[in-house]
Amino acid sequence: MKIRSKARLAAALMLGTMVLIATSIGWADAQVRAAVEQRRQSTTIADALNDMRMVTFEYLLNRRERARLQEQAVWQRLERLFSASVDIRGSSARTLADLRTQTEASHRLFAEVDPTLDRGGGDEIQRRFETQLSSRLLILQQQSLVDAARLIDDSDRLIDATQRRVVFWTVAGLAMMALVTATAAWFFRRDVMDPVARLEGATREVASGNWDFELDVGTQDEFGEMARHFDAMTRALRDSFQQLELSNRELSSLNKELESFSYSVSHDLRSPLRSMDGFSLALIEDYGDKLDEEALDYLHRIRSASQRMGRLIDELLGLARVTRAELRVHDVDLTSMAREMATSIQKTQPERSVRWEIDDGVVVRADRDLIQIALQNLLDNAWKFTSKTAEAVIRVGAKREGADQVCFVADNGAGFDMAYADRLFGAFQRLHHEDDYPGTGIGLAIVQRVFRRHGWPVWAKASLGGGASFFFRTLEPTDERREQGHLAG
Amino acid sequence: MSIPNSTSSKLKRRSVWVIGAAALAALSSLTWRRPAEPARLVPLRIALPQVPHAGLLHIAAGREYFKAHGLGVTLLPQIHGKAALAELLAGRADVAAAADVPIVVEVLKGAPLGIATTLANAPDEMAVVARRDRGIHSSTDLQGRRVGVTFGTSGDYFLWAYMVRHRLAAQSLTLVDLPPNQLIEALGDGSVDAIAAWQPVRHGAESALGDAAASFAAPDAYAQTFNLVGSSDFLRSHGDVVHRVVLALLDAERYVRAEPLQAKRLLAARLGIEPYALDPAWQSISLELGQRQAQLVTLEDVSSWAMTRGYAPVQPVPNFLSHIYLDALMAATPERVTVVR
Repeated sequence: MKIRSKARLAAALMLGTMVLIATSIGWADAQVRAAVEQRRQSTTIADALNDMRMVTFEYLLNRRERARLQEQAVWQRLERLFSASVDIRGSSARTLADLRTQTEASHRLFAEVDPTLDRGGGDEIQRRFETQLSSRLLILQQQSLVDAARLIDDSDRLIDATQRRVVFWTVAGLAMMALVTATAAWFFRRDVMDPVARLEGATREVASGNWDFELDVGTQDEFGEMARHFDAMTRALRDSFQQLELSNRELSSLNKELESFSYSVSHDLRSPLRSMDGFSLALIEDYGDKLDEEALDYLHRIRSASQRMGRLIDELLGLARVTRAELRVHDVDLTSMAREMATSIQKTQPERSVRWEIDDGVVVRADRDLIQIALQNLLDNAWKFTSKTAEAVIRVGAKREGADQVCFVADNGAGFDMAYADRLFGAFQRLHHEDDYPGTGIGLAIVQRVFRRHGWPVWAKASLGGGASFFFRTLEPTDERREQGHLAG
Repeated sequence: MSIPNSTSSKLKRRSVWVIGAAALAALSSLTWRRPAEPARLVPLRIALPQVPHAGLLHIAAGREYFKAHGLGVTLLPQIHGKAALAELLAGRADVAAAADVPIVVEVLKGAPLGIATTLANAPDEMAVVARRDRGIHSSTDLQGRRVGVTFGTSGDYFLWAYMVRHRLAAQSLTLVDLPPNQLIEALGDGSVDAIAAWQPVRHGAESALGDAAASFAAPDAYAQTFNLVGSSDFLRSHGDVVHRVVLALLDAERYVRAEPLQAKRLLAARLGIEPYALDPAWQSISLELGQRQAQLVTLEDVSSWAMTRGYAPVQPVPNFLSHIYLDALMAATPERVTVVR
């Protein structure tokens, strides 16, 4: 049976028991009320009977008219009481019927009592009749009082019995509730707590690296299903990790190949380039006077091309280093870094008039070397694309957006068309002609890689001729983001 | 050698089951055990008339309630209570069942009798059954008539009370002493004009005469009680026996209340009459144990009558309280005792 069904059953049993107790109490309350009412009626009847007995014997002794009238009044009162006592049932009803018969007989006999008192003398028959009448009245009224007392006793017994019944049903109900609670607790421990403990143990095992651990629960309830899902999940994770390990090994192998390739690029490809550049220079220097203008132009072009290829190789190696370098996160004073770079850049072209606006106190938690590469690229770009702007302004700063800090590098240079923004961070992608703004098209790709390694989003806003702004949101670096950045980078 | 853990726990579990089952069995044997029958039943001789008034005694015997309470009862059937009382006084019975009238007569004669309990009340059971063809249509028509009655019985007292109730002189009647089993016959053959009788004789007479019968009841004249009586010495010295008798009679009373039809059939069978013939008595007699204060008044009235009728020497009305034995009924069901004490 499912735990849910068991819980419903237990709840239904508890509810049923409570309803039983409530019904019992309600029923008992009605019974006690009826018994109390019966007792009240019986007591009132007994009081009236006492009154009747008193005035009857007053009348028998003295034949006072007042006593006769009082007997009439009591009789009428008793008639009303008997008529009102309609709710009395069982043996009490029989007693009440007897009581009514006796009282009627008593009243009837009372009416036969001679209103004149015969004190001695008179005939024997009348004397005997009077004696018999008195005896019968005495007997009837004694019996009536006994019956009235019995009615009161019956009411008391009924109250006692009802109270005992209430106690019994309440105790039985409580015992039932205790039994249900104990059973539910036992089932809860067996079906919920024990499986939770096993599940907790299993998660601890898996967390400690035991991917072969399986719960292997055979029950058909919710925990059985959960355990089977858990086992399926650990199996799937085990398979995934095996696959991941395989992929990592392949990736590691590829990285080694890439390193080897990088080595080849940096050393093997650079040597012929250096030769081409060097021998071209030697030809110009040693045989320049023997070569015509066209030949010299060719040699200069060879030298320019080989130098450009060298820069491309350097940039590519730089991109590869950014991707592979290990992150060492510290507080980095972006303001100081930007100011140093601005001074350095300004020195390369002192004739240019550029206004640098660098905010104070911009600090980020990042890898200093990588962030330096990214910032250098952004500032180089800004310097380059403001080269044709009359009053160039380059701004570096940060602003708060909620809990995050958004840093930016902005300029009022050439800008670009936002329609091509998706190509902005691709390697070797250029949005301007090289003759206008020379470059390899690697710089922004490196910037994006650096920020991605940190797990920081980077985006740009620009307009053609209206300058460009590059933003990056400096989130606190986490292992997960770094991992994602690393894997993606 | 040590027992393996699993085996040990199984043994323990089994032991718990065995002990539990044994406890349950012991408990059920305690709960369901019938009252143990004593090895030897206490003998008791009860003289009783073959009348419905002694119904509880007949039913208790028929249902073996006496035996269940350790009594080996021998019933000694008689034609009326007076005869049963004679058996008691002659020492041939330990207790007897009789109406209040013969008991009072014997007490007045000096018999040391005690009433252990009332067995039945019959406030409206007796009647004067007369022949209409003799011109008897009302109570006054009875004057000067021959009326059959069993002297010294409750029928005798009823007739006297009836006459008083109607302010008639009892001396105006010519009383004919007849045993109960001859009353119907005497009325039928005309040797008497009327009879005073209790049930089922009254019903028999009414049936025999049919429309020719005129019945005159007097519920306000006399409420008869039927009693279990014994010698005062016996009641005092055999309190335990009397207590058991009372318990058996209370069982019979409960049976009558719970199974009235079965009880009536059983009683009719023991009286040797058809159940329908028992109906009038069954409806007018209340089979119920008790010791009522009101009974003392009746006993005293009956004693005055008995002295007037000459059944006993004239003397002061005795204190009947000393002839009422309350202990047995008080011990069994005290709420039935309303005698002021």
